[in-house]
Amino acid sequence: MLAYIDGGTGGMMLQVLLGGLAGVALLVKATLSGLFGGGAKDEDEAEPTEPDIKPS
Amino acid sequence: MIARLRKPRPRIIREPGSFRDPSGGIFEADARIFRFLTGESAADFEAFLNSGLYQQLTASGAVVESTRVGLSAEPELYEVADDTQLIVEHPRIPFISYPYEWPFEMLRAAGELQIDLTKRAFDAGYSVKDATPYNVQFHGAKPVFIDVASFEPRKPGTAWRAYSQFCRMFLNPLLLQSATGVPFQPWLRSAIDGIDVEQLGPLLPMGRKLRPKTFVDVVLQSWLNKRFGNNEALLRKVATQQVSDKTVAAMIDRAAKQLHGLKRKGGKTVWGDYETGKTHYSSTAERFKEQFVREKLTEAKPSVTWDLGCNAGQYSLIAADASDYVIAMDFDELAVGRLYERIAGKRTNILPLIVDLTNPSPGQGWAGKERKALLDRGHADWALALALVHHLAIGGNVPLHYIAEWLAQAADNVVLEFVPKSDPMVKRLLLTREDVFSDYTPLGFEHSIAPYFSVCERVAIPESDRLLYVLSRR
Repeated sequence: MLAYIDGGTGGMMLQVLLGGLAGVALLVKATLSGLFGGGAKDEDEAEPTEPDIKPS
Repeated sequence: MIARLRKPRPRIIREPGSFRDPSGGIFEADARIFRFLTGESAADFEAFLNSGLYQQLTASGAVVESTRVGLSAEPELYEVADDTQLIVEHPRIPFISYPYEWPFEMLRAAGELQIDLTKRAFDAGYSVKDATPYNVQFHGAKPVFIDVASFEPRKPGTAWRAYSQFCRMFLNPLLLQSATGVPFQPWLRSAIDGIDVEQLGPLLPMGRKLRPKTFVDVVLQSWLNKRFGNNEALLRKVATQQVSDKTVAAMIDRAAKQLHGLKRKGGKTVWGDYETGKTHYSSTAERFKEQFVREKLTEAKPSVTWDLGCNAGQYSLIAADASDYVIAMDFDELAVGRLYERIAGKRTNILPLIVDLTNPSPGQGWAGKERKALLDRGHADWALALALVHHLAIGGNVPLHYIAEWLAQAADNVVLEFVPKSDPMVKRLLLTREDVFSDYTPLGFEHSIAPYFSVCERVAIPESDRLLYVLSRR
C-alpha cells in the first residue's frame, strides 16, 4: 500500500477534529503547549524547541 | 531466418505524465496503452481486479477496463521497469485533455465521478488514494476514471488522505468561479497541483466564507495549516490517530454535497449567446453553410474532425454525424460549457475543450513533458475553421501565413469560411482599431495558404460576402 500523496496538516486534522472529543482535546493541548512554550506535561522533551513559527 | 519469423520487438514509450505514484505507470507500445505494476502493489491491484467493485465500476463505464497481459504472452512488455509484476492493457482514450481545458461543468462532472468512486470504494472496503482530475478523462462528454491503480484495500482507522487534494484540484477551482465569476482555467493551467485554500480564502466574499461548508473546507482548513503546520509533535499524533469509519464517510459526504451545490456564477460572455443572438446570417446563408459542411464531411467520413472556434457546437454536432470523433474547441469558457451541457449524457463522440488558438495549451509539468501541448496529443483528418480566421488575423494580429502554417500542422483537410472586411462582423472588429491588415482579402488569404494547402473548392455563401473553401494539405 503506497499512500504517496501528502494528506496535508489541515486536511488530516479536520478529520481528527470531526472524529469528536479526542480530536478536540489533542488540538487544545497542542494550542496550550504552543502558547506556553511547551509546558504540557506529556509532550516529548525535544518538541518545545520547534514551536509554531508562523503567526496564526 | 528464425529472426525473421519473430515478431518485431514493440517500441515501449513510457507516458511522461505517470510517475507520481511509485506503484507503477503507463506506457504505450504499438499504439496500445498498458499499465505496469511493480512489487507488492501488483497483489493489491490483482485483488481489486477480482473484486465485485471492479466489475461494478467497469460495467457502468465509470472506470476504464483492464485486461491482463500474461508474462508468457508478451514477455518483452515486462521489461518496461524493474520488478514489474503485472501488466494490463487499457482501451485507448481518443484524445487526452486536461482540467484547464474544461469548462466549469466538466470539472464538476469529473469531481462528481471522483467523489462517487471514493464513496463506492469506501463502502466496499477500498480507498481511492488520490483525488486529481488528471485521473479522469472525457470520452466525448462522458467522464471516465483512468487511474485504476488508485484503488487500494482500505486500512481500517485511516483518514481520507486525499481530501486536501480533492479541495485543491476540484472544490477550490469550482468554488472560485462559483463565488467570484472568475474562471479557474488560467490558474489551473499554471498551477497543475491546484489552488491552495490559503490562496483561495482571501478571494472569497465574506458571506461565502461564512457558509458552514465553505467555512470548514477553506477557512478552518487554512487556519489549521497555518497554526499547526510546523508543530511536529502534533502532526506525528495526528498521523497515527485512528479515524472512525463514520467520520471518513461523513467527510466524503460533506465534500460530495459541497461539490453538487456549486453552480456557475451567472453572467454573459460574447460567445455564449452568439448562436441564439446571431443577426449577421440570413437563414439562406446559414442553411447553405450547414449543407456544405454536412456534404463535405459525409463524403470524407473523417476519423477525427477538429471544430476550431466551435462556439456552442452548432457545426460540431453536424461534424459528429459524419466523423468517428469530434474535438470541439473554442476560447470561450461559457460557450464550451453550453456545448457540454447540450451533449452531456448523450454523445460520446464530441469532446468540448477550451482552447485559445492564439495561445494553445503548452507542454508543462516535470521537464515540460508531464502535460502535453495540444498538437502533441493528436491530429485531425479534417478541421472546420468557420468564421475563425478574422478573429486570429484581425483580433489577434496573427499573420495569415502563420495561420496557414499552424492549420497545416493540425489537419490534413480544412473546410474554411473566409469572412471579408465588408462583413459586419469584421467591420465591428475594426471599429476600435486601425486597419493595418492590407493583405486581409480573399486573394491575400489564398496567397498565404498556397505553400501549405491546395484549394479544392471555393464557393460564395449566398446573401453574404463570405467564402467557403475546401483545402487539402500539400
